[in-house]
Amino acid sequence: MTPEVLLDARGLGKAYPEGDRPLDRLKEILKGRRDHEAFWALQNVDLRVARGEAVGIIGRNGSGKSTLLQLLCGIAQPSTGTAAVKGRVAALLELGAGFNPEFTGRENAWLGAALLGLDDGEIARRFAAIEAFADIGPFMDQPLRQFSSGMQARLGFAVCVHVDADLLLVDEVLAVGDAAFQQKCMRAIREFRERGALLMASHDIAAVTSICDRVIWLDRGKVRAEGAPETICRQYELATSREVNSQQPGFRMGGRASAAAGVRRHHDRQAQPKTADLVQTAVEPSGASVLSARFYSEGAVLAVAEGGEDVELRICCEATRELTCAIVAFLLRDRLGQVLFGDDTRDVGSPTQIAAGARFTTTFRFDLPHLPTGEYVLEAAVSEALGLDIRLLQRIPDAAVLTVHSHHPSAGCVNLPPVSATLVPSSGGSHAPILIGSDIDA
Amino acid sequence: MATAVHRMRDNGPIAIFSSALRYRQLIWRLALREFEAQFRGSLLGRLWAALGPLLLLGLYTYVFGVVMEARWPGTETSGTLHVALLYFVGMVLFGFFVECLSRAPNLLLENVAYIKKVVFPLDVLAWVALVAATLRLFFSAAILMVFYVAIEGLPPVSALALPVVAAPLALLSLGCVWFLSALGVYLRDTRQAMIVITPAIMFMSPVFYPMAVVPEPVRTILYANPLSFAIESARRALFEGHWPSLPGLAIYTLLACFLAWLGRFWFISVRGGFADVV
Repeated sequence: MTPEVLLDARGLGKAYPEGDRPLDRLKEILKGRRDHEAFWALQNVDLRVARGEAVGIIGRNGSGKSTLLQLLCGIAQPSTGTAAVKGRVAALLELGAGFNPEFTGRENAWLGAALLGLDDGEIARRFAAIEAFADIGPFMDQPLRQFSSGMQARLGFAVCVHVDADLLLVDEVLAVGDAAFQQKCMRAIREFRERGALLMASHDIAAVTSICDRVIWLDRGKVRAEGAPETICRQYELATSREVNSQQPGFRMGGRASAAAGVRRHHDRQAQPKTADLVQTAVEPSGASVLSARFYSEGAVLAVAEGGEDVELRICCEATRELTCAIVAFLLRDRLGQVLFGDDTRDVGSPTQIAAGARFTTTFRFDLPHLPTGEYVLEAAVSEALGLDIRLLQRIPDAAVLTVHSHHPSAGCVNLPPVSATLVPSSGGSHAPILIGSDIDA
Repeated sequence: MATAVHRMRDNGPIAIFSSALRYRQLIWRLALREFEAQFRGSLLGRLWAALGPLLLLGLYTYVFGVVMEARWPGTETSGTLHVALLYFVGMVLFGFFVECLSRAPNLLLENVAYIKKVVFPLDVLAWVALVAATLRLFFSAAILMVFYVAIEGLPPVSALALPVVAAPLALLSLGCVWFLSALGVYLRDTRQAMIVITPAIMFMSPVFYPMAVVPEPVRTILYANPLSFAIESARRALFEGHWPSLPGLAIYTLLACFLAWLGRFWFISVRGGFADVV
């Protein structure tokens, strides 16, 4: 028995007229055709979703994800193509239940449910469940404009999952909300999948991978790829990090850890400024500039790492005048700007005197620490030491981006290499020890 | 089974009422809330619903009746209170019509969330505005009747015709609201135009004078104003004991239905672009 198709979209497209006066849009409708060159937010999208399926939509900002969802739930009219929807569609677009900021949470929830076709009696019966799920306490009776974004999302989501919807459309809304709420949402979504269909647009690759059966990658309004979540997400991440890291043919995905080579000894550093300070002191306008910074692993540019690889960080600089003692430094920051680690060339024995106009490359070789999945930004700086005084010549806060795709979930800022743990009952019994480990085959 | 949006494409005359019927609970709740919201937070609260028309009536009566010593034109009718009542009938109906008309251009612009964030049967918003205005009308009419009884005594039987006269006016206003609210989304000037047109309508309706005193060619022109028939008939029913002319009422009702349908047709036709321009 083939599952029931709840959503059937063919050739969907949406164009916005170039003239941005509302009157132009009216003329367009009245004339029934497009006069001017339009901007196509979405072109020729086909999509079929059956009951029980969860489909994810990923793409950069501006790729048309929100437009697609708006078309599918009927908020915007398609310029081309058709979309047929069966059953009740509950949509959570932008921020949750933001229907009317003046209404209270309770009224908005009622309104949302009523708009989805429930009558007063049905809503009254479910209201307790909605309230419990949203769990916003006294805010239920406060105007919506006093809600935080997390609360709005909770309320909107609570309504959506309690209205017996057949198709649930979710757009980016799960990014807000604390971890507890996100957990609740994930559980609710999983339950929802059993009776309905889900369409989810998100930047959260991890969420999409864990919930969806199928993923569609939208790029500049067109479907670029469609398939299993792992494959498509990986392709997507490769493509985005390639764009950010400037074009390099042939790059390498991260792999196994290997022993670090050539360890430098650090002398006692306490009296000297820390690397982070080197990178933040005042700037002198001329002297040298940082040309590029790239991570390499096993000879090729490293775009996506796993943690633990033997990497080389090559920072290429150019001196505009003669430098007596050049120092190159770097810092790696997470997406919140927290500095994770860094180093500089102060203890290097090799000559640091550079002629004017010459280029010089600094190579740092180290084992990349195990980091959680995410994007990290490299900051590179070049300075000059004059006696005890160090002057910053140039600092590039985002010289490179490194994407880490770790297989081991992390509970904090750093991650662990593969962990092996044993749990042994300590009193009585002849039970064999229970071995718990992850990536044991690594 | 289509969603709300697809269903709204029904264009027939019945559709005017079918969507209202389907969403009647929603309309009632929204209208009630809106009616209350006008007074929420004010000191006198709901009293304003009664006080508003009263104060206005008092003001007009004083200015026109006492200061300008106007009489009911064309007759010897005098007595400030009696003239005030005559004004009041016109003002109640006029107020209703103009409230709808001046809210209409911004109706959708004020509810952007309903256009862009949620699948909402937008044609229902016109009903909400109408119902809210009707609630106000009831209040004013109740005050009118209280004063009538106090000043003139018991009203004639023909006063029962009042709702019959007001109903087509309401339907007509609905059509205007649909038309203007849709237009107002694309042409922001609509609001400005309404600000200018509203006082013009006031003087072009028989609020402060009976149609009888208006010289001929102008009188026919004034009947083009949908308020004219309603106000004249209401006044005659209330003060002269005349039931409204049946043919006149029939034409009026038909016209009102037609205009309502036309307004809705316009609304549905251009609805597709709302989300793009708002």
